[in-house]
Amino acid sequence: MSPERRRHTYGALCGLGLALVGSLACSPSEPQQETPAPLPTGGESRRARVRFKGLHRLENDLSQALSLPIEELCTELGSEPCSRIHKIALGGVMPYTRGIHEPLPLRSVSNAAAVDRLVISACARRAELDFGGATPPVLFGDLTQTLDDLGAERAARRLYNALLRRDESPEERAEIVTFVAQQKAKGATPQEVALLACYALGTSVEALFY
Amino acid sequence: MVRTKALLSCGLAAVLWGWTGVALAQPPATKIFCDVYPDAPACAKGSTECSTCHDAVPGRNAFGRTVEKHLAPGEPRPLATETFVAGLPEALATAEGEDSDGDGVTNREEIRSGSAPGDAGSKPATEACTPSVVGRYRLCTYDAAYVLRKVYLDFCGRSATMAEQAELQSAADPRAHVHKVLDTCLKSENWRGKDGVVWNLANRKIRPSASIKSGKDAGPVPLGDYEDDYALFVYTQIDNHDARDLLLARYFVERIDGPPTIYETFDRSPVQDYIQRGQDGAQVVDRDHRAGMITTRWFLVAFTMFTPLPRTSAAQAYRAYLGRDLAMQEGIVPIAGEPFDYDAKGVKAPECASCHATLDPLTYPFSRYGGLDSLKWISKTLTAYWTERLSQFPEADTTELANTPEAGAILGQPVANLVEWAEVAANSPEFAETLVMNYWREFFGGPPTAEEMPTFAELALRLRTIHNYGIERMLHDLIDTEVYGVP
Repeated sequence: MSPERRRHTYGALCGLGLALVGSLACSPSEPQQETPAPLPTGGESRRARVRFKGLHRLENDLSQALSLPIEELCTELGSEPCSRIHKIALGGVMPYTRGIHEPLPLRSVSNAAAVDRLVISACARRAELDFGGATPPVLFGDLTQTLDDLGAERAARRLYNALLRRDESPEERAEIVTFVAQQKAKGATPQEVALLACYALGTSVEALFY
Repeated sequence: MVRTKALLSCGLAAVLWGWTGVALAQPPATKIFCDVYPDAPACAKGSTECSTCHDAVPGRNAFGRTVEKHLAPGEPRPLATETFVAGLPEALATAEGEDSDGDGVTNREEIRSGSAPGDAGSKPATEACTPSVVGRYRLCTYDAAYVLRKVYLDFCGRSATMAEQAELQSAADPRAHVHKVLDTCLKSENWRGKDGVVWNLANRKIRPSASIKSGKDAGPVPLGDYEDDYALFVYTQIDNHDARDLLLARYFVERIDGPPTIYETFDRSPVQDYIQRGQDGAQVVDRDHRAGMITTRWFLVAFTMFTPLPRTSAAQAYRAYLGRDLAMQEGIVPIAGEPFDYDAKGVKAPECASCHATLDPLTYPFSRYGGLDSLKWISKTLTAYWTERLSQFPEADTTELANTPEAGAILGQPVANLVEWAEVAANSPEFAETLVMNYWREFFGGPPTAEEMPTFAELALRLRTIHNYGIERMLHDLIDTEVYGVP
């Protein structure tokens, strides 16, 4: 990927990430031009007890959502599973060799980076397979070369169903359609758009916490 | 809302540490607090938490500082114990009308409502919670769909699929459906398999170390294997087995990897086990002297090691299974005349005696169980339990060592030996509370708040009195609670 393409990709990630409350992904140095959508009305949770899913739940969910074996989600240097390399950062334990008996009580500085690494790698792998042509697409088949609105709407449905296990709202669908159109105008390929949308949803608060 | 920092009661010693600079063994201030406020949510267990007055013992929070201000004013510090005990109720009463943390709510209101009087971020709910719908959440009411999603994540280790969520919508009795799903997840590998949720709850209790592991995947200095310990732990927590067997089991458990992972009990003498599994794998305590997790080979090797009076073993058992960390001044129940200081470690010094009057009698019953030292004589005794063990330390600093009694005390109750120690411990409220706490922390990320304490206490009580220590029955209770089920 060229430097220009990388900048373009990163900017797009942040834009959609913000729009979809994907709060972990964006660099503070990137301009944040869009304001978050207002919270839905109807009340507030008294407890607001929200927990990070942690390593195993995250892996299981991504594996299921992207139809990938866990060992294919993410590897470092093409061989070592990210879940092993970034185990503690992702909320795992190492009782036998490091005496870390429980997940760290607070998320570490590297937590967000490790989550990013895991999700973007998994999304990239799914996109690679879906657009590679060797097998029928599993998730991104609706994002054809034309990147039309109808395909974007269908892709939104598939992504929300897979990654968040629910249907999207009309507003969320519109966000995806707008995003796809914006990326199309900027010359992004369908595979790049698929990766970005997957990453944004996969790093949203809703996908990472419960 | 800030969470309580320690569930189990700290002694008055902890409080005195803050007030006098020296920790002395005393009846618990947390108990006195609850004598004054018996109906406070924080007192559902009979005593409140250290965090009512302390940030981190001995440091005090805003409420603790207010109480201190009103406690025996004019009396020279450090306060005598009697002065402290006599003055605390009045100091609490005087502090009631103030707003220590400046959150606009008086201490009295906070204590009565279950919020924290020393934490400005903790206030009583001022508005009625009206059920409403926000997105997928039904607020202020038990939300079966929310619980279903949490049960899948907490117990099965994954999110519910859309099809699984749809099943709930079509269920005639949503709650019953959730309980059915829970039963399924309790059988999952995520829950009961190696390195699963239950397995990992044992990490802090077993404290494994790969470097001295024997058996499979042995380390460079193989001394003992903790696989039996994990297997016994998981076995006691699944299929509604009696969880007291953590401390009462005379049997061991073998793990057969799956899926499904299966746990099977076995009961062999040390000699039989030696024949079956060889020197590296055999358990070393004879049946009559076994006490579950605290007499396994790993426990004795890792905690007792070469120590004549294995205080580390006793302290670990107290911490792991009764939730009392003596190093944090928790669970101080001094015994008259103690510490005797049989091993001449200087524990009679006032700075030491405050803890050792509890710890040493807690330790005596462990003194007949050999750790690494048992290698010297186990071929003669055929067990790591030996009444004459303390005569095997001729290098000891004192001749009194061999006179150390086997009898000791736990929670203030005399016991003749470790088997009795374990029985008292396993049948105590503290044990049940610690069991529930293991899971509470797992699901909620920390101990209960004062507001949640009645729910917690009820779970522990029902585990003891209704569920016959069946953890899975307790977990069915837990997912029905407002704390778990109301988003």
